Amino acid sequence: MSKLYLHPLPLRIWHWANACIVLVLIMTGIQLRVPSIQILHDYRYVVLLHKYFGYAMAGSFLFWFFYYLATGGLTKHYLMGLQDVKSMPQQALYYVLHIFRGEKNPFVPTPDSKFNSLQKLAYSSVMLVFVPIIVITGVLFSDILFFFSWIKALGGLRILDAVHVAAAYVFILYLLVHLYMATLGPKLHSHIKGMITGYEE
Amino acid sequence: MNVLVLIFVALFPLVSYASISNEDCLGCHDKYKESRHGQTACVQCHDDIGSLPHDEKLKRPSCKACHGKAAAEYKRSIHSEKGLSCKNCHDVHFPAKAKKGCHSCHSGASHASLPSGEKHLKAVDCLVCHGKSEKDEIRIHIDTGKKDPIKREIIDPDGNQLIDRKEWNNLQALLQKAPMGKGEINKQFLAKTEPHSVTKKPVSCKSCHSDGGIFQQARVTIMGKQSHELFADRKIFIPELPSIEDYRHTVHGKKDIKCSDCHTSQQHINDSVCTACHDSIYGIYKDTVHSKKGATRCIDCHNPHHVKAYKELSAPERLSVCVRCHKDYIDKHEWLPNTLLHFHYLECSTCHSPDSTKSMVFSFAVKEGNKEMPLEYLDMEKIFGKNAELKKLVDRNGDGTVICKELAAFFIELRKRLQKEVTISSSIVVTKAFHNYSEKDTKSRVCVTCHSEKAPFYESMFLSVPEGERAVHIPVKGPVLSAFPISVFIDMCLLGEGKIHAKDFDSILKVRREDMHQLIDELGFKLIDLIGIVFSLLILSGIAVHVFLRIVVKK
Repeated sequence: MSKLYLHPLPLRIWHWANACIVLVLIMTGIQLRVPSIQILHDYRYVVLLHKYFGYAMAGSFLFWFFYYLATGGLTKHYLMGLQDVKSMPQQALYYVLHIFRGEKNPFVPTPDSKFNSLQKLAYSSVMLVFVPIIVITGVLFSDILFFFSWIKALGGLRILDAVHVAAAYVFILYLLVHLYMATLGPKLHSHIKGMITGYEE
Repeated sequence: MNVLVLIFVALFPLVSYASISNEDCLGCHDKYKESRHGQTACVQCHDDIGSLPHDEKLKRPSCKACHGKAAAEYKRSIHSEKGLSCKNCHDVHFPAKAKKGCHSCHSGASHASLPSGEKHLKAVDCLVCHGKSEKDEIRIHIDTGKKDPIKREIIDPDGNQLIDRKEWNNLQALLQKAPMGKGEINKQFLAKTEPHSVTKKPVSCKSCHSDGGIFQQARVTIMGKQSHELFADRKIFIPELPSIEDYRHTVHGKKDIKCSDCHTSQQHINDSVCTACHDSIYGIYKDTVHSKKGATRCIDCHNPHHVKAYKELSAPERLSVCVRCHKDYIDKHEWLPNTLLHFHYLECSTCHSPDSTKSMVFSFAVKEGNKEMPLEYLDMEKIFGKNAELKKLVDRNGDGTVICKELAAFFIELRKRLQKEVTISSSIVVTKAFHNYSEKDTKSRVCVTCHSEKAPFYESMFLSVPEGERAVHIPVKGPVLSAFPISVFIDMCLLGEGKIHAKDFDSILKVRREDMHQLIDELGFKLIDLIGIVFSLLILSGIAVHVFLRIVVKK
């Protein structure tokens, strides 16, 4: 089976660092939202971890964004074309039906276009809509006094809090699917291995 | 011809002086070679020298001819009375080189009767007390060195160019905050008086320690990576002295406690004076960390001359009592998100005295842009007339409590009459203190202690209305918060911020169709969690089915 170098080193490092950040943010976020679910004993550290990993997330997002912007990857891998829209039903059908018949994935990744249409839809909406929403609202919460006029203009604290949490739920939903889809490669661990070595089978 | 005579008369002294030049004098008196008294020629002061060589005995030069104003002030001063002359302080031939300060004669002045002597003598110019001052200046110089700059919006969030007590507390805390390190605060109380008017008796304490005293606003200069020039309320740096007139309005004064009941000697008041009446409270307090460390006496926190009783103080006013010692409170509460914002609405003992009764105290404020200014009694008097009794105006049925209807009616009236954006601000303060503030690692360090509809202070709510210089707390009964439009309370995150619970799922499953709308209203923002969790479960189920089918197909 041929191997394709799809994931350059900086992106692999970003991916796993981002994964750690996301994990901490979700864990602490859950305890912040529902304190009766006790993940860490000292609530103080929950607050501080969420705050500092939130900053890390903002940094991580900026790295991802500018890396792709600089390498032209945003248009190559994330921009949806008409062809992508057309191929969506077929791709969806593969995941819910054809995969069980042992049929091959209709999409073959190349270094010039590594995501299928559903991946494009998921990744671009998460990375270009929901993550920025979470990051921006999170940063605004970091200093309410300083960003007061912005917060007020955007609808007030409670509205922004609701937006932050709602976007976080969308992210969690996406993550559940993402984690499961990672096992849908030729072998269970193919995609995970690919994200470590850079080569996809 | 007349004009020529006039010119001659005007120029005559110059002509006369010019006839004996400084060089002529220095020919003999060469020790005055370096002498500089402005551009003054020797013979301008020694004006009885008509020709050279001059008489052996010359008359004493008079400074008055040039320094008339200073001389007049000096004549009325104690120094003049004691027979001292200009020469005792000024070396007239080398005025720039030698000018004797007060310390050159009065270095050992004891100031034994001056309260807080060391503090006064360190920062206050002698002439502030010993001169005839009318308007002196407080200069506060803060050097943040090469540390992180402090933004102006942080120092003066309301943007009125004046640092008030709350803002000063924040600034002090920021200066203590790592990684900023300790910023140096240098306070100077400078006399802007005519320096020759040294009086026999120093001015009274009241000259500074009273409203309308000789010190006006303080000028604050912050130097560092970012420099700022601001003014600050002088009361931050000069506490006001109690007056007998004010004392009558204090809690102690109203109970007819005489000065001599507490001030039995000239000594500082100690705790035993307070325990004569407050022994049961002291019984709790004496075993606490504050008392045991011997650092805090009753009067360190409670000012018995303050017209407002402690329980009438607002959250920032109470905070300012604690931060006189606990200046590092921001650093210590780094874990608390938006520390400064929290301390706008809380006092320390909200958390650090778990056995105290906490209450939500509402007050009226006016919103101007981002600023929220509390409505003072003077503002209320303008609307409701002189000596208006606001308690009666709010509590219309006179039952001693405020219900939603009464508060709403007063609020609408206030907004109508004031024609401004009136808001109801709230703070969480202790209304019944348990005098043990030793709790450090407080177990209630969880947001939902306060940010929950079950928070204890919802059981105890008060409306604070100003009455003269005091504040009256009227108990609030009934569902006040939910009755107001959301725009009034939108940013009070304490409200209705319930956390999702298993019973919420239960209630949505069991709800009747016609009650659905009401339930959704009750759930509020919890609906996000509810939908999020349901979707997560759906997705997990989908994954489980997918996994199952994959296993079955593989077999």
